[in-house]
Amino acid sequence: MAQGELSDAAMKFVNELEMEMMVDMYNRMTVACQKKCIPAKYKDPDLTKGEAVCIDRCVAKYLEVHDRIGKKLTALSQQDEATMKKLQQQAQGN
Amino acid sequence: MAQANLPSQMQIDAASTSSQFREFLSQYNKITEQCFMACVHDFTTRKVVNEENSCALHCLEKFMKMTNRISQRFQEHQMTTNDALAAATQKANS
Repeated sequence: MAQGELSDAAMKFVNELEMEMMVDMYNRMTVACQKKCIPAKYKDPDLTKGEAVCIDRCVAKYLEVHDRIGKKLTALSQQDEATMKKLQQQAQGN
Repeated sequence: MAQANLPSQMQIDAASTSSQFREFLSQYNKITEQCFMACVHDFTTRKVVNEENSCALHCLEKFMKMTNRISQRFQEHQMTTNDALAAATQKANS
């Protein structure tokens, strides 16, 4: 998708969508890292050192997994698109 | 989103493409969360370990194949339902 071809309205839409999706990812990450790192025992209001460190690592890992899945998803989509084009060309050739 | 200058067909296409794209991004976030929960367990490090990496990528591919299969079966089911309905309607009208 060549950015040069997008109209102002389209750019605005893409930016808003990106913000919305980032917020969604952030919320999911919060839920995930809470489940992974914070046991549901609320004797103490403070984060223990272990929990704090776990959260740091959890966030780093979640973001990295998010990136890797994104790259793979892009590759798969491009593969799909190429296959579709091929099939269309074959269909038109007949 | 100012689309008043576009002919109506283009507006409809833009709307459906943009909602498709939004749906795609939503799924991306959902997949990330699910695969992270299922695959990442080692919080002694910030780095994503090899097993976690391959698990996440397998998780993604499996999810994609699963959604494809679900949509195929659903379409088949819809077609059968429509055919049955059409046949019943014809019978009733004749």
